[in-house]
Amino acid sequence: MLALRFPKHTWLEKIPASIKLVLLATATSGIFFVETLGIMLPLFLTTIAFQFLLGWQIFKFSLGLLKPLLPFIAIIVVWHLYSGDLGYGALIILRLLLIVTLANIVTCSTKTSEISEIIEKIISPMRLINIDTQAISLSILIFIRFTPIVIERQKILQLAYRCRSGKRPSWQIIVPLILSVMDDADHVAQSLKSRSTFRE
Amino acid sequence: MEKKIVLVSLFAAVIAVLGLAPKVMLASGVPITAQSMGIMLCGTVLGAKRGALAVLLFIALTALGLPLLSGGRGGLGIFASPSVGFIVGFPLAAYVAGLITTKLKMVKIFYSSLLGAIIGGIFVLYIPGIIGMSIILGKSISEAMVIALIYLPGDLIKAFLCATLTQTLFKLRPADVLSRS
Repeated sequence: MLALRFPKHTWLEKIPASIKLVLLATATSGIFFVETLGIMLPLFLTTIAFQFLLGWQIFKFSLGLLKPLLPFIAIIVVWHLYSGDLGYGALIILRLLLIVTLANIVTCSTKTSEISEIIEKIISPMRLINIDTQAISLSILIFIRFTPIVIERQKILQLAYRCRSGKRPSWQIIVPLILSVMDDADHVAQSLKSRSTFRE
Repeated sequence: MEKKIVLVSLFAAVIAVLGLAPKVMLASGVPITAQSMGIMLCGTVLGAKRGALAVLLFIALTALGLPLLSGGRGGLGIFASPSVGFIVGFPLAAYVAGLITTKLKMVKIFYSSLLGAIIGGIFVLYIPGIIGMSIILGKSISEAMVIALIYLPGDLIKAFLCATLTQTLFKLRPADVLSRS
Protein backbone atom coordinates (compact mmCIF):
# COMPACT_ATOMS: atom_id res chain seq x y z
CA MET A 1 0.00 0.00 0.00
CA LEU A 2 1.18 3.51 -0.79
CA ALA A 3 0.02 5.33 2.32
CA LEU A 4 2.19 6.02 5.34
CA ARG A 5 0.44 4.22 8.22
CA PHE A 6 1.38 2.72 11.58
CA PRO A 7 1.99 -1.04 11.36
CA LYS A 8 -0.76 -1.60 13.97
CA HIS A 9 -4.17 -0.09 14.69
CA THR A 10 -4.28 2.42 17.53
CA TRP A 11 -7.00 4.32 19.35
CA LEU A 12 -5.69 7.49 17.69
CA GLU A 13 -7.38 6.40 14.48
CA LYS A 14 -10.79 6.89 16.10
CA ILE A 15 -10.17 10.61 16.70
CA PRO A 16 -11.59 12.70 13.81
CA ALA A 17 -8.91 13.93 11.42
CA SER A 18 -10.06 17.55 11.74
CA ILE A 19 -9.39 17.54 15.52
CA LYS A 20 -5.96 15.96 15.04
CA LEU A 21 -5.02 18.53 12.39
CA VAL A 22 -6.10 21.47 14.56
CA LEU A 23 -4.17 20.06 17.54
CA LEU A 24 -1.11 19.54 15.35
CA ALA A 25 -1.24 23.10 13.98
CA THR A 26 -1.59 24.52 17.51
CA ALA A 27 1.22 22.38 18.92
CA THR A 28 3.56 23.14 16.04
CA SER A 29 3.01 26.88 16.32
CA GLY A 30 3.46 26.68 20.10
CA ILE A 31 6.73 24.76 19.87
CA PHE A 32 8.35 27.59 17.91
CA PHE A 33 7.92 29.81 20.99
CA VAL A 34 9.81 27.40 23.28
CA GLU A 35 13.26 28.90 23.71
CA THR A 36 14.73 26.88 26.58
CA LEU A 37 16.02 23.33 26.77
CA GLY A 38 14.36 22.99 30.17
CA ILE A 39 10.92 23.02 28.52
CA MET A 40 11.82 21.47 25.15
CA LEU A 41 13.47 18.35 26.60
CA PRO A 42 10.48 17.28 28.76
CA LEU A 43 8.13 17.96 25.81
CA PHE A 44 10.26 15.78 23.58
CA LEU A 45 10.60 13.00 26.16
CA THR A 46 6.83 13.03 26.75
CA THR A 47 6.19 12.59 23.01
CA ILE A 48 8.68 9.72 22.81
CA ALA A 49 7.13 8.10 25.90
CA PHE A 50 3.69 8.52 24.32
CA GLN A 51 4.84 6.65 21.21
CA PHE A 52 6.41 3.98 23.39
CA LEU A 53 3.06 3.50 25.13
CA LEU A 54 1.41 2.97 21.73
CA GLY A 55 3.51 -0.18 21.39
CA TRP A 56 7.05 -1.31 20.60
CA GLN A 57 6.27 -1.90 16.91
CA ILE A 58 4.91 1.63 16.48
CA PHE A 59 7.84 3.09 18.45
CA LYS A 60 10.36 1.38 16.17
CA PHE A 61 8.44 2.38 13.05
CA SER A 62 8.28 6.02 14.19
CA LEU A 63 12.00 6.15 14.89
CA GLY A 64 12.62 4.82 11.38
CA LEU A 65 10.63 7.74 9.95
CA LEU A 66 13.10 10.18 11.50
CA LYS A 67 16.07 8.72 9.58
CA PRO A 68 15.87 11.20 6.68
CA LEU A 69 16.58 13.98 9.21
CA LEU A 70 19.99 12.52 10.13
CA PRO A 71 22.04 14.52 7.57
CA PHE A 72 20.54 17.77 8.89
CA ILE A 73 21.17 16.75 12.49
CA ALA A 74 24.78 15.97 11.58
CA ILE A 75 25.15 19.44 10.01
CA ILE A 76 23.73 21.14 13.12
CA VAL A 77 25.98 19.11 15.45
CA VAL A 78 29.13 19.91 13.48
CA TRP A 79 28.10 23.56 13.16
CA HIS A 80 27.50 24.03 16.88
CA LEU A 81 30.58 22.07 17.90
CA TYR A 82 32.48 24.60 15.81
CA SER A 83 30.60 27.67 17.13
CA GLY A 84 30.67 26.33 20.69
CA ASP A 85 26.96 27.02 21.30
CA LEU A 86 25.91 23.42 21.97
CA GLY A 87 22.81 24.27 24.03
CA TYR A 88 21.22 26.16 21.17
CA GLY A 89 22.13 23.35 18.76
CA ALA A 90 20.41 20.81 21.02
CA LEU A 91 17.32 23.04 21.16
CA ILE A 92 17.11 23.19 17.35
CA ILE A 93 17.57 19.43 16.99
CA LEU A 94 14.90 18.65 19.61
CA ARG A 95 12.47 21.14 18.04
CA LEU A 96 12.99 19.57 14.63
CA LEU A 97 12.53 16.02 15.94
CA LEU A 98 9.51 16.99 18.03
CA ILE A 99 7.60 18.75 15.24
CA VAL A 100 8.31 16.03 12.69
CA THR A 101 7.37 13.30 15.20
CA LEU A 102 4.04 14.99 16.01
CA ALA A 103 3.23 15.43 12.31
CA ASN A 104 4.14 11.79 11.68
CA ILE A 105 1.84 10.63 14.49
CA VAL A 106 -1.09 12.47 12.86
CA THR A 107 -0.25 11.24 9.35
CA CYS A 108 0.27 7.61 10.37
CA SER A 109 -2.94 7.44 12.39
CA THR A 110 -5.21 9.05 9.80
CA LYS A 111 -6.60 7.50 6.62
CA THR A 112 -5.56 9.27 3.41
CA SER A 113 -9.22 9.36 2.41
CA GLU A 114 -10.11 11.24 5.62
CA ILE A 115 -7.54 13.94 4.96
CA SER A 116 -8.51 14.20 1.31
CA GLU A 117 -12.15 14.69 2.36
CA ILE A 118 -11.04 17.63 4.49
CA ILE A 119 -9.03 19.01 1.57
CA GLU A 120 -12.06 18.71 -0.70
CA LYS A 121 -14.08 20.68 1.84
CA ILE A 122 -11.37 23.32 2.05
CA ILE A 123 -11.08 23.69 -1.72
CA SER A 124 -14.83 23.60 -2.41
CA PRO A 125 -15.18 27.43 -2.21
CA MET A 126 -12.75 27.57 -5.14
CA ARG A 127 -15.71 26.67 -7.34
CA LEU A 128 -16.95 30.20 -6.80
CA ILE A 129 -13.89 31.60 -8.56
CA ASN A 130 -14.39 29.19 -11.46
CA ILE A 131 -11.82 26.56 -10.48
CA ASP A 132 -12.91 23.05 -11.38
CA THR A 133 -12.70 21.10 -8.12
CA GLN A 134 -13.94 17.97 -9.92
CA ALA A 135 -10.74 18.09 -12.00
CA ILE A 136 -8.68 18.26 -8.80
CA SER A 137 -10.45 15.22 -7.33
CA LEU A 138 -9.99 13.31 -10.59
CA SER A 139 -6.26 14.18 -10.69
CA ILE A 140 -5.84 12.86 -7.14
CA LEU A 141 -7.59 9.65 -8.11
CA ILE A 142 -5.50 9.12 -11.26
CA PHE A 143 -2.28 9.84 -9.36
CA ILE A 144 -3.06 7.32 -6.60
CA ARG A 145 -4.16 4.70 -9.13
CA PHE A 146 -1.24 5.15 -11.52
CA THR A 147 1.76 5.65 -9.24
CA PRO A 148 2.08 1.89 -8.55
CA ILE A 149 1.73 1.25 -12.31
CA VAL A 150 4.50 3.72 -13.15
CA ILE A 151 6.68 2.14 -10.43
CA GLU A 152 6.09 -1.28 -12.03
CA ARG A 153 6.88 0.16 -15.47
CA GLN A 154 10.16 1.54 -14.14
CA LYS A 155 11.09 -1.88 -12.73
CA ILE A 156 10.40 -3.55 -16.11
CA LEU A 157 12.54 -0.95 -17.91
CA GLN A 158 15.35 -1.43 -15.38
CA LEU A 159 15.23 -5.17 -15.90
CA ALA A 160 15.23 -4.82 -19.69
CA TYR A 161 18.20 -2.45 -19.54
CA ARG A 162 20.08 -4.79 -17.25
CA CYS A 163 19.41 -7.75 -19.55
CA ARG A 164 20.78 -5.92 -22.56
CA SER A 165 23.76 -4.14 -21.05
CA GLY A 166 24.62 -6.09 -17.91
CA LYS A 167 24.94 -2.74 -16.11
CA ARG A 168 22.76 -1.06 -13.51
CA PRO A 169 20.55 1.51 -15.19
CA SER A 170 20.23 5.04 -13.87
CA TRP A 171 19.14 7.98 -16.04
CA GLN A 172 19.03 5.90 -19.22
CA ILE A 173 15.53 4.63 -18.51
CA ILE A 174 13.98 8.04 -17.88
CA VAL A 175 13.27 8.81 -21.56
CA PRO A 176 11.53 5.47 -22.24
CA LEU A 177 9.64 5.90 -18.96
CA ILE A 178 8.36 9.34 -19.99
CA LEU A 179 7.49 8.10 -23.49
CA SER A 180 5.46 5.22 -22.07
CA VAL A 181 3.72 7.59 -19.65
CA MET A 182 2.84 9.87 -22.59
CA ASP A 183 1.30 6.86 -24.38
CA ASP A 184 -0.65 5.97 -21.25
CA ALA A 185 -1.84 9.56 -21.00
CA ASP A 186 -3.27 9.31 -24.52
CA HIS A 187 -5.13 6.09 -23.75
CA VAL A 188 -6.45 7.21 -20.37
CA ALA A 189 -7.53 10.59 -21.75
CA GLN A 190 -9.36 8.87 -24.61
CA SER A 191 -11.23 6.54 -22.32
CA LEU A 192 -12.04 9.38 -19.91
CA LYS A 193 -13.32 11.48 -22.79
CA SER A 194 -15.67 8.74 -23.92
CA ARG A 195 -17.10 8.44 -20.42
CA SER A 196 -16.70 11.81 -18.79
CA THR A 197 -18.93 14.79 -18.36
CA PHE A 198 -16.19 17.37 -18.71
CA ARG A 199 -16.93 20.39 -20.88
CA GLU A 200 -14.15 21.93 -22.93
CA MET B 1 -9.35 18.98 -20.64
CA GLU B 2 -9.07 15.21 -20.05
CA LYS B 3 -5.61 15.01 -21.62
CA LYS B 4 -4.42 17.89 -19.48
CA ILE B 5 -5.69 16.29 -16.25
CA VAL B 6 -4.18 12.91 -17.14
CA LEU B 7 -0.80 14.36 -18.15
CA VAL B 8 -0.58 16.40 -14.95
CA SER B 9 -1.48 13.37 -12.82
CA LEU B 10 0.85 10.95 -14.60
CA PHE B 11 3.79 13.35 -14.49
CA ALA B 12 3.17 13.74 -10.76
CA ALA B 13 3.51 9.95 -10.62
CA VAL B 14 6.78 10.17 -12.58
CA ILE B 15 8.18 12.61 -9.98
CA ALA B 16 7.25 10.08 -7.30
CA VAL B 17 8.93 7.23 -9.16
CA LEU B 18 12.11 9.24 -9.75
CA GLY B 19 12.32 9.78 -5.98
CA LEU B 20 12.31 6.03 -5.44
CA ALA B 21 15.35 5.48 -7.66
CA PRO B 22 18.48 4.63 -5.66
CA LYS B 23 20.29 7.73 -4.52
CA VAL B 24 23.85 8.63 -5.33
CA MET B 25 26.05 9.90 -2.50
CA LEU B 26 28.06 13.03 -3.18
CA ALA B 27 31.58 13.36 -1.82
CA SER B 28 30.16 15.69 0.85
CA GLY B 29 27.98 12.86 2.12
CA VAL B 30 24.71 14.45 1.01
CA PRO B 31 22.56 12.09 -1.02
CA ILE B 32 21.27 13.29 -4.38
CA THR B 33 18.20 11.77 -5.94
CA ALA B 34 16.52 12.14 -9.28
CA GLN B 35 13.43 13.69 -7.69
CA SER B 36 14.42 17.32 -8.13
CA MET B 37 15.29 16.47 -11.71
CA GLY B 38 11.71 15.24 -12.03
CA ILE B 39 10.59 18.71 -10.95
CA MET B 40 12.79 20.33 -13.60
CA LEU B 41 11.57 17.86 -16.24
CA CYS B 42 7.93 18.63 -15.44
CA GLY B 43 8.60 22.25 -16.37
CA THR B 44 10.82 21.67 -19.41
CA VAL B 45 8.58 18.94 -20.88
CA LEU B 46 5.05 19.92 -19.85
CA GLY B 47 5.51 23.68 -19.90
CA ALA B 48 5.04 26.23 -17.14
CA LYS B 49 1.42 25.83 -16.07
CA ARG B 50 0.98 22.07 -16.50
CA GLY B 51 4.42 21.41 -15.01
CA ALA B 52 3.65 23.49 -11.92
CA LEU B 53 0.27 21.78 -11.51
CA ALA B 54 1.87 18.32 -11.69
CA VAL B 55 4.36 19.30 -8.98
CA LEU B 56 1.61 20.85 -6.87
CA LEU B 57 -0.42 17.64 -7.08
CA PHE B 58 2.62 15.58 -6.10
CA ILE B 59 3.32 17.75 -3.05
CA ALA B 60 -0.32 17.85 -1.96
CA LEU B 61 -0.54 14.07 -2.03
CA THR B 62 2.78 13.63 -0.28
CA ALA B 63 1.51 15.92 2.47
CA LEU B 64 -1.63 13.77 2.67
CA GLY B 65 0.58 10.92 3.81
CA LEU B 66 1.97 9.15 0.77
CA PRO B 67 5.66 8.50 1.49
CA LEU B 68 6.84 9.53 -1.97
CA LEU B 69 9.43 12.20 -1.32
CA SER B 70 12.96 10.91 -1.79
CA GLY B 71 14.06 8.80 1.16
CA GLY B 72 10.48 7.63 1.74
CA ARG B 73 9.42 10.86 3.40
CA GLY B 74 5.82 11.94 3.43
CA GLY B 75 3.03 13.22 5.62
CA LEU B 76 2.63 16.57 7.28
CA GLY B 77 6.10 16.24 8.80
CA ILE B 78 7.64 17.39 5.51
CA PHE B 79 6.42 20.90 6.29
CA ALA B 80 8.35 20.87 9.54
CA SER B 81 11.56 19.47 8.09
CA PRO B 82 14.51 21.61 6.97
CA SER B 83 13.57 20.86 3.34
CA VAL B 84 10.24 22.70 3.69
CA GLY B 85 11.36 25.72 1.66
CA PHE B 86 12.51 23.52 -1.19
CA ILE B 87 9.25 21.57 -1.15
CA VAL B 88 7.15 24.75 -1.18
CA GLY B 89 9.38 26.15 -3.93
CA PHE B 90 9.11 23.08 -6.18
CA PRO B 91 5.97 24.24 -8.11
CA LEU B 92 7.49 27.67 -8.70
CA ALA B 93 10.72 26.03 -9.89
CA ALA B 94 8.81 23.90 -12.43
CA TYR B 95 6.85 26.96 -13.55
CA VAL B 96 9.95 29.06 -14.19
CA ALA B 97 11.78 26.15 -15.88
CA GLY B 98 8.78 25.67 -18.19
CA LEU B 99 8.36 29.37 -18.86
CA ILE B 100 11.98 29.79 -19.94
CA THR B 101 11.91 26.66 -22.15
CA THR B 102 8.74 27.94 -23.86
CA LYS B 103 9.78 31.57 -24.22
CA LEU B 104 13.21 30.83 -25.68
CA LYS B 105 11.83 29.12 -28.78
CA MET B 106 14.50 30.63 -31.03
CA VAL B 107 17.24 28.83 -29.07
CA LYS B 108 17.95 25.09 -29.41
CA ILE B 109 15.87 23.15 -26.90
CA PHE B 110 18.96 21.86 -25.08
CA TYR B 111 20.07 25.38 -24.18
CA SER B 112 16.61 26.73 -23.37
CA SER B 113 15.82 23.79 -21.10
CA LEU B 114 19.29 23.96 -19.52
CA LEU B 115 18.77 27.63 -18.73
CA GLY B 116 15.24 26.87 -17.51
CA ALA B 117 16.47 24.06 -15.27
CA ILE B 118 19.27 26.19 -13.82
CA ILE B 119 17.24 29.36 -13.25
CA GLY B 120 14.02 27.59 -12.20
CA GLY B 121 15.35 24.43 -10.59
CA ILE B 122 18.31 26.06 -8.83
CA PHE B 123 18.11 29.86 -8.46
CA VAL B 124 14.35 30.16 -7.94
CA LEU B 125 14.20 26.98 -5.85
CA TYR B 126 17.08 27.92 -3.55
CA ILE B 127 15.45 31.19 -2.43
CA PRO B 128 12.55 29.60 -0.48
CA GLY B 129 14.83 26.61 0.26
CA ILE B 130 17.42 28.76 2.03
CA ILE B 131 14.75 30.77 3.87
CA GLY B 132 13.16 27.48 5.05
CA MET B 133 16.47 26.05 6.28
CA SER B 134 17.29 29.30 8.01
CA ILE B 135 13.98 29.23 9.95
CA ILE B 136 13.91 25.53 10.83
CA LEU B 137 17.62 25.15 11.58
CA GLY B 138 17.80 28.48 13.43
CA LYS B 139 20.58 29.83 11.23
CA SER B 140 21.04 33.17 9.54
CA ILE B 141 20.34 33.43 5.81
CA SER B 142 24.04 33.51 4.95
CA GLU B 143 24.71 30.46 7.14
CA ALA B 144 21.83 28.60 5.49
CA MET B 145 23.30 29.55 2.11
CA VAL B 146 26.53 27.78 3.02
CA ILE B 147 24.55 24.62 3.87
CA ALA B 148 22.59 24.87 0.59
CA LEU B 149 25.85 25.07 -1.37
CA ILE B 150 26.36 21.37 -0.61
CA TYR B 151 23.50 20.60 -2.98
CA LEU B 152 24.74 22.82 -5.80
CA PRO B 153 27.09 20.39 -7.63
CA GLY B 154 24.42 17.68 -7.67
CA ASP B 155 21.77 20.09 -8.89
CA LEU B 156 23.99 21.37 -11.69
CA ILE B 157 24.51 17.78 -12.86
CA LYS B 158 20.75 17.27 -12.73
CA ALA B 159 20.11 20.43 -14.76
CA PHE B 160 22.48 19.16 -17.49
CA LEU B 161 20.84 15.75 -17.42
CA CYS B 162 17.39 17.33 -17.56
CA ALA B 163 18.37 19.35 -20.65
CA THR B 164 19.83 16.25 -22.32
CA LEU B 165 16.67 14.23 -21.59
CA THR B 166 14.37 17.01 -22.81
CA GLN B 167 16.41 17.29 -26.01
CA THR B 168 16.27 13.51 -26.58
CA LEU B 169 12.52 13.50 -26.03
CA PHE B 170 12.15 16.40 -28.46
CA LYS B 171 14.15 14.53 -31.11
CA LEU B 172 12.13 11.35 -30.68
CA ARG B 173 8.67 12.87 -30.36
CA PRO B 174 8.51 16.64 -30.75
CA ALA B 175 4.75 16.69 -30.20
CA ASP B 176 5.16 15.24 -26.71
CA VAL B 177 7.37 18.08 -25.52
CA LEU B 178 4.44 20.35 -24.75
CA SER B 179 6.60 23.27 -23.66
CA ARG B 180 7.59 23.66 -27.32
CA SER B 181 4.41 22.68 -29.15
